[in-house]
Amino acid sequence: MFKFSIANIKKGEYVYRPFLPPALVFIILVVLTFTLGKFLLDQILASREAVGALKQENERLEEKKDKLAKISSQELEGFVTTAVLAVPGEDSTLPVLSTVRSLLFGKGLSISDLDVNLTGGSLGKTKTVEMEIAAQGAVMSAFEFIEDVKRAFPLMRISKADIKVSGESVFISFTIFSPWGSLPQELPKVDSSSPDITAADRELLNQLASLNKPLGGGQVVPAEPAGRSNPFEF
Amino acid sequence: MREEKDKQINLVGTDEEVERLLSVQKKARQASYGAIFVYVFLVVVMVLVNFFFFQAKKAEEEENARLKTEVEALRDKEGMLVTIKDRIALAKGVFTASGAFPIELIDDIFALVPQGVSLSALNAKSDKVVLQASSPTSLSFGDFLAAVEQQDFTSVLLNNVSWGAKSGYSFSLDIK
Repeated sequence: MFKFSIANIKKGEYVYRPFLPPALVFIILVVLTFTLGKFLLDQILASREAVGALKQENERLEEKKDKLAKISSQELEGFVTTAVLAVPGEDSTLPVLSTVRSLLFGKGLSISDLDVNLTGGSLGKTKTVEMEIAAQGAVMSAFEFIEDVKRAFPLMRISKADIKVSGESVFISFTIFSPWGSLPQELPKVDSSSPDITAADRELLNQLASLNKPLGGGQVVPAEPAGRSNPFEF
Repeated sequence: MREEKDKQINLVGTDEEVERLLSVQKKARQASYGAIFVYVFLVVVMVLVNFFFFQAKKAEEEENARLKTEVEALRDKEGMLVTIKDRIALAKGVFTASGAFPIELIDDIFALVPQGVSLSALNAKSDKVVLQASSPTSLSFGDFLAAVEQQDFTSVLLNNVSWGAKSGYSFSLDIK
């Protein structure tokens, strides 16, 4: 075999010069591998990753589209109406007061004391209307009222009660709380999965739908002003 | 002078050495051509693969844009779903509130009250009911206590039992 010995190198350019082009080619190829080759490989890997991510996103979107298309708008509107009536999107002090008052009067119970906590309480992240009411009337009416509160819009619960029976009449003092909370203001991202209404949710919605709807769809209509239109006019 | 020329001629080497050198050069040249060919082939393959992925990406992006438009058209339904879920979460808090009035417990207690026993006061808070009742006879008082004890209440505590000739037995029960 040919060897690069000192003796051979001494023979002059004839020995090493013809090896220059192949050596240059190898050097160029190595340099290109680390530049062009790496660039192309990175491009391929990035494109492959992007295609994979897009495919997954498209599957999600397709699934979401099918799911949303299948849901009936009418059914959803019914659910929204029920849910918002049960848990209002704004301070529900007036609707709660209106409902409680009409329930009490409906049962022949008369209010002797009323204390509304306007600042409200909280139930976790939920804001609540809290009111303490003292009333008196017939024993059975008091218990019917307690049952009716469970079935009234907006959703409310008695958290505390003190009942004193005196003959046929009863003195009842109780604390009612009713939740409310601002309605969601933002929609999730287009490519994120949409929420599902589970069987348990449907059951709860049906339970809410079975509550006794208030007159006027839960809206408290302010009374017409009874005073003079211009009090400065004699 | 002659000697100088001989020295120069001798530096060229033998034919065998030159032939061997040329063979090695040829192999190096062939190897470099081969490497260039393989390299170009690989680059072409990579460019084609890149092009394939570029086209696939473009197609998926077009599909993505189409799907997004279609989903956007259904966003009102999604908004309703979000609202419903939000309200359900708030309503669930009421149903599972620990401080809720124990109406079921009261119903259970009322179902146990026998003829003759009358309730005079009831205080209910959270999971506890305190009731005051009176019974004209020990029989109905005993029946009521036996009925309460047979139930699966967490705890039943009898307080303040008193007896009067007119009112009979007056007692207070703490039930959880």
